[in-house]
Amino acid sequence: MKPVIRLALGLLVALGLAGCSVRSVVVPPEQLPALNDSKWTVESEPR
Amino acid sequence: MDRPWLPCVLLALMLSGCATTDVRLKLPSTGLPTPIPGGNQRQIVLTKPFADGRQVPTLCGVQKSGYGVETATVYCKDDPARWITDALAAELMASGFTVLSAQESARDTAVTIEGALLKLFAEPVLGPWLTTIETDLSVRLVATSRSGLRTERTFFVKGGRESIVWTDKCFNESLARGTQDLLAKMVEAVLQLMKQYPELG
Repeated sequence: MKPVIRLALGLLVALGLAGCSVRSVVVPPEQLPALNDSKWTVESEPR
Repeated sequence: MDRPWLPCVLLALMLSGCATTDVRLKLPSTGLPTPIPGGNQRQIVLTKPFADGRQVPTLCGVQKSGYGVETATVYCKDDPARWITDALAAELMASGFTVLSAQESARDTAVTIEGALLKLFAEPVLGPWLTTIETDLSVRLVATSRSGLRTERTFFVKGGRESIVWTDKCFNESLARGTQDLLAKMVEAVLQLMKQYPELG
């Protein structure tokens, strides 16, 4: 195998591995209902 | 070949999707296309600006390569906490509420709303064919009144924009969609609260 192709393959593998280990900060859409209050939480009522 | 490394560099640049430059998010200045009616001139005192409760206040997201590697930073052009406060104030006024600042005199029955921006974060989420620029937005509102009401509610929405390439425009559109959803949810919640307590406002 030519050195250039070997280098390119190595680069691809390195980028792929790095990509697999990257975390996401945004939450998965299925978690939205749990993070969204469906109603007001009343701590004290008006007198 | 004189420069055997050149194809590798070009390949790496192609794979990175040219995503190596920082993104500057433009915080949308427009509200809902159709305001939600029902404010009926009832008074709301909005404490400006909301607190910035984000984990990293200087960051509004990350840019990624086609392999999901973080390659650049997403910054907000303006102060996001001040922006979301102003956007909510404008939307409440469009709904018919009388929105006052803390310095203005209000009726005893007026509801005071304070808030905190908990999250504003945009990033590409890679799929098999398309990438979605997802923007998470979260705000907590606390409503009080002189007559003793104290209630709070947290809102969390997600804006999304699918694309093959992810440019600044995609990020801005994703944020704009999330903003519309967030504003609609907050205004509907305030309307619901005022309906629950007709003596207030």
